[in-house]
Formats: sequence, C-alpha cells, structure tokens
Amino acid sequence: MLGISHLLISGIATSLFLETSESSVILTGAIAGLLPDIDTSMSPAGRMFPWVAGILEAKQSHRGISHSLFASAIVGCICYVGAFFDHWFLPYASAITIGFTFGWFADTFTQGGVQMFWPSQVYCICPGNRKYRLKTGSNAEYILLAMLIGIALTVFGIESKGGMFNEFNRLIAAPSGVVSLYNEQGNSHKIITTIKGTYSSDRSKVDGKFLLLRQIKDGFIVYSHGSVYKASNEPDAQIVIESITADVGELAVTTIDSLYLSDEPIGEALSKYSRPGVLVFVSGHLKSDDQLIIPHDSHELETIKASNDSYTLEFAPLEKVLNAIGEEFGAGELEIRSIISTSPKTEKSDIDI
Amino acid sequence: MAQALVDNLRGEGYLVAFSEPASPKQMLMAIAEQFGLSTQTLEGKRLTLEALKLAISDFMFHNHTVLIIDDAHLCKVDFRHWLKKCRSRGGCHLVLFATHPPLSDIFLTMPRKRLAPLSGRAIRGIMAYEAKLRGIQLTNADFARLQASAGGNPALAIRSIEEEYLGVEQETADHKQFVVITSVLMMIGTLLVVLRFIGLGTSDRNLYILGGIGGSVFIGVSRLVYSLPKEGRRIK
Repeated sequence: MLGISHLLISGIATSLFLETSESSVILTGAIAGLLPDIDTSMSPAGRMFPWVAGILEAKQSHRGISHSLFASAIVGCICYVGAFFDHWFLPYASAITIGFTFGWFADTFTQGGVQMFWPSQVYCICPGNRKYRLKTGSNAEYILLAMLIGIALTVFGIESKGGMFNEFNRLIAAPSGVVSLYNEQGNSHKIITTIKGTYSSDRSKVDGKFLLLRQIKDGFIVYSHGSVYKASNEPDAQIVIESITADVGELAVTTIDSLYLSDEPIGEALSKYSRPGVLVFVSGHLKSDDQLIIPHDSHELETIKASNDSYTLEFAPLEKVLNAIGEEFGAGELEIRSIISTSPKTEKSDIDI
Repeated sequence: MAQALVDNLRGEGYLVAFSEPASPKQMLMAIAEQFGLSTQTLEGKRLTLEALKLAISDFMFHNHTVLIIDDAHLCKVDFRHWLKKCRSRGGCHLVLFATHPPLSDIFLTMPRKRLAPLSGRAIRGIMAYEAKLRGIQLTNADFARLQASAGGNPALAIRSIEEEYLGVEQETADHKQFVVITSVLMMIGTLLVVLRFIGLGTSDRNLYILGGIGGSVFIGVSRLVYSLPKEGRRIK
C-alpha cells in the first residue's frame, strides 16, 4: 500500500475516533500510520529510524511483528505512559496508537496480508480471494486513494463543525439533537438554534435563528430580537416546530441569581443586573398592590403576566421588565438568569439575535 | 526434504529406495533398480507391472528396507493400494511425503506427522543459500520482503529467490499461512446493529437511527463480500 494511502487512512481514523479536527493531532495520527513499515529500511519510517529497521529486517519478515496487535499494544503502552507524566500529550498518545493500528490494519486488504496475531506466523487477509485484494500502486489503489481523499475532506469538515453526531443531528433536524448539544456545550457556549415552523397565532412561517434559553417539557424556550418564545409541538407553544437544528455559538457562561424583594421598587432592585453585552432574563412571582395592564404580543411568550395582586414573570427580558413594571413596588422572589459572553472581541460573534 | 532424508538414511547404511510420482510402472522400475532387483525376465523381456510389484514386495518382506515416496498424494490409487498391501505384509518401512492427502487408503492407515512451517531463521538460511548459489546479493530488506511470500515453506522460499534472480516482481504469496478475517470484521459490524437496540432501549433517537443506518449498510456490505467468488486453485 502506498504511503499516502496509509497517511489518509490513519488520519481519517484518528479524526473519527478522537472526534477532533485539530490539525496537529490528525497529522500525528497520520504520520503514525507510516510507523508499522519500520520493519523495512526502504520505507520512510525505516529510513528515519535505520537502526530499528536494521534489527527488525534482520530477524523478521516484512509485515510481521510491526504489523500486529502486539506492536499496537506496545506502542499504546509507551504513549500512554508518556501521557501519564505529561497530560497535554494524551490526545497525541491516542492519535499515535490509533494511527499506528490503522496503519498496519490497512495492509490486511493487500495481497500479502499482515501477521496480526504475531508471534503466530499466520497472515491475516481480507477478503479471501487475492483477486480482490489491493496491489501496491495498482489502479484499484489509486481509485481507493481518490475515495480516501473525498472521505478525508468530508470527515475533517464534519469534525470541524462539531462532530459526526452533531452533523447527523443537523441532518435529521430533530429536537433530540438540540438537547444533546445543549447538554454538551450549554454550560460554556451560547446554543444557537435554527427553527423552521409556524407561529401558532397566525400560522405565518418561521425560519430563523434563536438563542436557546432553556429546555422545557417537549420543547424549548428561545429568544430572538428582544422576544421570547416557547417552541415545541404543544398547542400552547408560540412556534410550532417543523425542524430544529443547533449550533455552538460564542463562549458564554450562564449565571443564576436569586433576588428577594420586600415591597421595594422593582426597577431599582433589578437595575444592577443591567450590563452591556449581558442578556438577562427574569422569572418569578411578585406581589404588588398596584396593577398595570401589560400589553402582550400573541406571537411571543407572555413573559409578564399580571393578575389581581401579583405579577408572574417567565423568562422576561430585563429591558422589558424595567419598561413594564420598573416603577412598581413588589415583594417576592425572583430568579435572574444572566448570559454573559466571554468571547474576545476578535473571535467570531454570534448572529444578530 | 525427501531427498535429504534419502541421503541421510543411505549414509547410515539403510537400504533405501526413493521415487517421485510418475506412471506406476516407471515408479516400480525406479524402486526395483534402487533395490538392485532385475527388471527383466530371463528371456530379456521387461517385467510386467504385476511381476514388478511382486518382486519388490517380496524383496521388502525379506530385507530391512525403507521406501520413500515424495508427493505421494499425486500417486495413482492402485499404486497407493499396493503400498498399503506391502505395509500390511510387513518388513517394509514407508515414508510418504504428501500435501493435503486424501483421508483414504494408505493415508488412512499410516501414522501421520504434520510438518510445521519452517521457522523464519530456517527460511532465511535457505534463501541465503539459494541466493549465494545464484550469485545474487540481497539485503536484509530484500530477505524480509521475500520471506513474507514464503510463509515457512522451503519450496516457496527457493522459488522467491529464483523470482528475484529473474527479476520477476511478485507481491502475492502462495503459501497456506493465511487466515481470512472477513468474518471477524463482519462480527465487528454487528455492533452497529447492537447500537440500534441500545438506542431503542435508552430512547436515544440518534443512536437508534445511526445504528439502524449503519446496520443496514453493514448487512449490504456483508452480502456483497460473501457473494465475491472464492479464489480458484489454479495459478492465474
């Protein structure tokens, strides 16, 4: 098998198994795919380590000990022992082990096979008919090479977008994929959803990006341009979902604070949470003597509900709370959810939400 | 190997006859000549097949002899039956070399000794000797490459050196030291189907769909692999 085929196979395997698109890790795995051929001084690895090649080729047949599970175990042990002392080396240790193993395993599909179970002298092959096994530099190998290049580009592209499962979730556009990504990345990043569906109020079409605030039963609370929506397939949702996908947005942390008010001005108590670049949402229940009529857009979630002697807030944007009931006095407990972007200005910023 | 055994036994003073597959009459003539038996009648005519068989078996019965046949699996059935009769009559020590012999006649009755593939060192030794005979200089890298095509078989080791001497590039190997791991790979593929059930059990829709798609692809590929024609026994 050609060296470039080994490079590609090991690089793809490293990227897939480690779910990484980091070029240094993939390159390490790819180069490790050339190492099994250290048993011959004519190979690149053999030329790089001539003394090892000299020892091996004097005693062993080509594709012998260095193309075996035994060799993979030795390489794995050495690498992981190294990673034990230097933790930054761990992904590289995994890359070397995976790349090395796939490097020799690819030779199973060649004419000669490999001594996978060394010290047993049997050569493992697949398939049994040699006519269908690869010859080095044959037309079949060049066709395989072209396919490998295509697969490599696809795999590296998928991994750079968040991995195989993420891409698959994007493909099927199911809520379970959004939940999965939210659980994985929600504590450190903004999760931006792309929702296609209809507004339940007037059945007009929805096709846009929303910031995911919270998962609720059978749906999500999402935010866009100052408005909060419940998106699900439930009848009380503002957006009925046809398809929903999620992407990892900029770095952000979510803090949740509790605020107790004892008949004091609501706006004054909340104003300290108003900071530039921070999205703040207020939930809770406040008792108040005065009652205002809060206008409500039927397209949106009713984030501030006024009843006889109280206000109920559900993911109400801070701006909206300050504008609507900021002048009022209230008593009760509020939950303040602040989403604070931590990305430097130079990093990619989120879409306008 | 058979020839080496013949030389060894003769060196130790045994009365040894050696034959390779040919027509039964040719083989019997060769055996009779090596035992010093006359192959002609008093009238100067050649002995018939039956007469040769009788003369040789009588000789072997009355003398301490060793009869060595190489590639015995290629001998005619009636010749093998005659060997069986000679052996049951006694007095004769038979050594038959055979590759994958049939489980019948003489092969069924004789003690069997399976010859293991030669060690890498022995194969290297044979190859080095053969290369020296042909006056070609081979590096360890060449020997390592050629050793893989011999697979512990001395005949193939010699052939690989001959091919190298003639400049014939051969990547394939004809030894029998192969294990087809297609079934093992198929077993690993079944894990995809297992994933589908895990996805079903844990209500993980992604796992369920991915496992289902992977399992379907695996079933298709396995059907394709198993439908590939088996390798022929002839050199192509």
